[in-house]
Amino acid sequence: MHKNKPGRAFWRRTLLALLLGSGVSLALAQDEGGAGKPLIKPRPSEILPLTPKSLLLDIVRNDGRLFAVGERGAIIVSANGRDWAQVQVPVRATLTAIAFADARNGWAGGHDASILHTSDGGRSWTLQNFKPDLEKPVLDLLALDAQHAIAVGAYGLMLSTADGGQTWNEVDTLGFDPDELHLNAIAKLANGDLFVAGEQGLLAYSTDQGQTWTKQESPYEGSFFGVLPRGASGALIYGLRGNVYVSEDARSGKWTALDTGTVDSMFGGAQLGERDVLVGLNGAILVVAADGSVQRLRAEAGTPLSGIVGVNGNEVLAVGESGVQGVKLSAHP
Amino acid sequence: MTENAHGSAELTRTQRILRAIEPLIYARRTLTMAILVVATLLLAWQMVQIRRDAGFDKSIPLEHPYMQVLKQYMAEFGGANTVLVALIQKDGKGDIYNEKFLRSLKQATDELFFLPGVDRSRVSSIFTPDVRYIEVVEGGFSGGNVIPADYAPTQHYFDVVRANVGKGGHVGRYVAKNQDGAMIYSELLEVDPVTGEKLDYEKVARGLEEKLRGHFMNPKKYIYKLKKDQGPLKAGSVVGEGYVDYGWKLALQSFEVADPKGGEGAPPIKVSGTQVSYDTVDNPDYNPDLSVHIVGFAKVVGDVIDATMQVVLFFLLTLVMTLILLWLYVGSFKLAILPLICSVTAVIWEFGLLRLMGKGLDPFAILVPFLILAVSVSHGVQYVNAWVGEITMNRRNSFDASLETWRRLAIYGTMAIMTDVVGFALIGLIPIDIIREMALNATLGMAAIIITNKVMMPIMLTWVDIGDPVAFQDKQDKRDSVFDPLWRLISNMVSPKPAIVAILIGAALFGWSLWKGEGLQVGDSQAGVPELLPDSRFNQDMAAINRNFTIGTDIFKIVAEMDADSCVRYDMMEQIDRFDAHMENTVGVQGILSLPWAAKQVNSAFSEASPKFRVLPRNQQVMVQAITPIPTSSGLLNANCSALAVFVFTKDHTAATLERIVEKTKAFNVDNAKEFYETHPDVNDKYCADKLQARRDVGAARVKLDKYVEKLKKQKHGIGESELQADKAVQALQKDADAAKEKFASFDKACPVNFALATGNVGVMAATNEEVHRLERPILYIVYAGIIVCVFLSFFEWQSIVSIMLPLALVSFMAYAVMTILGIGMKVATLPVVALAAGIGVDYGIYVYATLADAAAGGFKMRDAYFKTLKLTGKAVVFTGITLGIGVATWLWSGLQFQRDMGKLLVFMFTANMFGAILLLPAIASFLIKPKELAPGEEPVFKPRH
Repeated sequence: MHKNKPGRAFWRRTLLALLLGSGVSLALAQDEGGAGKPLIKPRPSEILPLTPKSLLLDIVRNDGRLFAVGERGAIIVSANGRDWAQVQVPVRATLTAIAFADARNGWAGGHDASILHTSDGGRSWTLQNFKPDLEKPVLDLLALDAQHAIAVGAYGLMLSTADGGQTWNEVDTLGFDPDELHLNAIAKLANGDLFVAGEQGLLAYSTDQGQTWTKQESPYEGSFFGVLPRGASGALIYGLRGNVYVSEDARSGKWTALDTGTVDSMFGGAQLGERDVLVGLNGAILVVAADGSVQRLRAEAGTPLSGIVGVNGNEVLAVGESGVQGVKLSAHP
Repeated sequence: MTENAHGSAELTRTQRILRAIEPLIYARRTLTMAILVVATLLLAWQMVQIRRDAGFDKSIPLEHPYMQVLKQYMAEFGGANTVLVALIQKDGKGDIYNEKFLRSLKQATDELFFLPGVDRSRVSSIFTPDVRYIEVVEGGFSGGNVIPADYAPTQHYFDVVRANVGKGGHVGRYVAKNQDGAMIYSELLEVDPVTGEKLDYEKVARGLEEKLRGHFMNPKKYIYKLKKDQGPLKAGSVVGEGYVDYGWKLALQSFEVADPKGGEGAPPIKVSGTQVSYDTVDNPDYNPDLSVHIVGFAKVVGDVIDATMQVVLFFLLTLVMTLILLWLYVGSFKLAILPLICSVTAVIWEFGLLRLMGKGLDPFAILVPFLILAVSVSHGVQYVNAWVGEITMNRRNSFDASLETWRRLAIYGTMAIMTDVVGFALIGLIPIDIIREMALNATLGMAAIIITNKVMMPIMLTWVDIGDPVAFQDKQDKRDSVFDPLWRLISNMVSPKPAIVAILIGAALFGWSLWKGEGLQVGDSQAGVPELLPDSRFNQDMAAINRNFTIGTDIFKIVAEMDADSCVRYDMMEQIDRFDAHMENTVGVQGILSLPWAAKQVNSAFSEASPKFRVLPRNQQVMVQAITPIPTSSGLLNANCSALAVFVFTKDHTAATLERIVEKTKAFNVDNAKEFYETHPDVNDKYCADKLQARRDVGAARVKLDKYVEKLKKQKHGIGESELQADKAVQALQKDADAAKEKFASFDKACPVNFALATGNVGVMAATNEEVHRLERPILYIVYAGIIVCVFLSFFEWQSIVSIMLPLALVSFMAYAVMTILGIGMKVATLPVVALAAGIGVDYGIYVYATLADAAAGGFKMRDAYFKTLKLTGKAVVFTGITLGIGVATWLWSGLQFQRDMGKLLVFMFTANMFGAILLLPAIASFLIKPKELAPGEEPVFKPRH
């Protein structure tokens, strides 16, 4: 029985030989950071035919086209959701998030603190940020406009730009995240507030476009993986073991738990008209109606899902371990 | 031409040799015959003791580089000799989570574990401790065995097991896709590591049928009891129990019972199946809801052996048909049976000699005796035919006719057989043991044919009583003249116009064959095992497993080689991860499994199962964390993490799929190394190639040592470790191994990961395919070179080579085209046949050419010469071709697919060679041979030129 508490960078850096009991005995190389340390340089992604069927982590629609990102620097584009083409990008790190500011400008981010930028609607991508030594992945991106964007990530990582990504500055998050917990998601609410959800129930909001952040008391000690705007100033937060909370006023910190009827963790979500659709472990799909009632579905492959986007009417595309999967929701109630 | 002068000198020498041998056969023929009969009886006695000898190792090209990789990592990653047992619920019987199924699965796992020959460290099902699950809970994750230690057959635990199977991601692998079946994986050890004894596949196959299939699928159980006292065992004592109803085949079984008087280690008493009776009782473990599916090399061997009886029946059928046709042909039963006696004797000699040389008969070589039979019949018919000719045309008596026939055919016949011997022996150049055995087998058979057809046959013919010579001659003349119009028609082939047409058609066919033969598949061209019928139980089992499980029966393993402890290095693991992606993106690949793949799963699990953390961590400590839960028993990594196995599961094992995987791997190695050198300037191609060679040498030295120790253990049972250490040769080999290790250790700089091909059952196929592909043409050419030399030695004239070899070559190439059309792949089993069948063709050619050339030299005009040839030897060729063709055609109804395939191929080869010899050969020869100019008034004479 293995049991341990993962998450914090502190743990990761100290959790060591204790674990070495079972199968392997490994001499931990002493040369870390020494002369033998190999040079790391970004390498272009490889175009592989099965990319639409391999691990994809986020999907968005922009200017009539669909974009999904995933493993090994994958960015794929489709006009109809069925036929996908992969775009070569200058990095091979696994990409976790993609966000567009307008029809032309957008960013994709992922591991090795990689941030890619496009200014031609996703046709070509340039690498704006690549810091493998940081050992912190970008986990979510928020594009405010063509100049302003914020990236959040593991171990309290927050990067922001005010010049279209020419420079990405590290934002000090210790104020609301003293334990360097993962910042799993960032979203802009209808009233303009920014909201961050993270590890171990971490919640924080900013009323000034991310200049300052206020930590919020959490209704749940488990991790949140995402946040969606809800109503005029509310939000929906979702996370570990099927926990979903809603608030009509996100600043107030008053959250209501929804009865989801599942213990599958939810990793991604999107607004679909009046409804919110969440996806997660074991292909679980939750459709949250405006009144807070929840309908449960399961994607065919049954593998973890990470992102979702509406296509037309009741059809959604979910991405995850088995790539892109189409799912038909029941008609709007 | 100097040939005539040369030829006449040769003539007398040949005659002198013949005259010197003649007395050995004819002077004391009763004594000679008696010796032969005694020898035959002795060899027959040897033959009945011959053991079947199947082996996995001998069917693979051990010297191929892939197989060196396989041997080097055998201990860590296993071999390719797997046995998969799937228990699947019958339709409508629900899923596996119920008491009955799980009990059967546990029993089956235990039975497989204890089956002799099974590598116990490699038995794996949801009931074995190496199959685990991990689950995310708040603040961490937990894991354990899929079947909890305190499992009890209650609904609660069924739900727990179902949940654990899901969490562990075992659906599709250990549990069927729709959860109505479960799989047990196991591997066989070909050589017992303790005793050094070789695995008895027949026993393993029988064990699988009894303990796994019968045990759960047969409602009845059989208790075997001794009928009469045997040694210390009393009548009525139980000698064994089983679950398979053998029917009349029980007599062929045997039971081993522990000697009640003997102490520890006493040899068991063998009880024959004829000595037992049995009681039928209800089988307590019978589970009517499930079906058992078993696949693996051992099962194929077992099924082929089961079909042996049928193969033998087909041989007998072929023999009987040959006899009937011969009878019709010569019009005398006495004469018809002689070639058959000689042929059967040759096969007896073949098996007897094989046994004397300490070899067994491989089930996959059961067609070789038939080839021997075929060649022997061909020569026998020629002999009897010529003998009858001597009697009818030259009015001789039995003895003189025999002697005259011997003088005429001994040289040509022996040379033709020698040609076959050379051809067969050269096939032994292929470095795959099973082919070498076939070559040896066939060579012995051919040698036996020389004795039976050139010594036994002449003697037997001297004793044939033809009754009233005049009546016999008349009868034969009458029979003969029936076909005269046909022969006269065919004799037109030597006229210029038909000859040119024949040659043009031949050339066109040759071109067509070259074009069509391009599509010839190396290896298997369809799913399933090609030795067995597509609808055989084995292939149905295989299809059922492939249908119900995502991970099928075809596994290609690639070994990722790097420095010790490298699996904690991101830059190393990343290369393997990327290789995984390239493999997954290869057409024909169903899925992959590797340490990086598993590490990504674990890393994600550590991060609350978030898919965004399904990556390899750059941080070394995190990487340690990610790989620690994966034990070496998973078969994904070796103890010091210097080698990882990448499992590539393929959709099928067709040659095209294998080629793609091999090509991709090779290309990836090159590209990956190039990238690596860019960021690691301290190493280069040369350094890393040397390092790899040093690594391979370590493996080779160790394999050599192990092999030797194995041999010692086999020679001396219970040899102690200290005794082994004291052995001089062991010490020397140990020293070599240590030196190799030291040399490898001196290469201390990291090189790019080397993706070494290959292990796994499909990896073995890839190696075999490559070897067959590399050698098929060269071997054919070498065989042809051998045949050309022999043909030249028979005639000492180049015309003979051109006339005989061109039709032969045409047929060989046409055979490739025919294989392409019939979908028969070029593989270990078919490669020798194509080459061997060339040997049968050459017999026809030599007989036809010899007579034609003799007649022309005697002054006959071409057309008359060929007419004479057709009457003397040509008709025997036609008869043989048709007879053998009809004989093998019966194989099309065989229960073994490869016998059917061989049947088709041989029907073609026998008849096509026959047409080649009587239609194309004379057409070509007509332009090369000039009949002797007759002086005015000189009559043409027909006599052998030597």
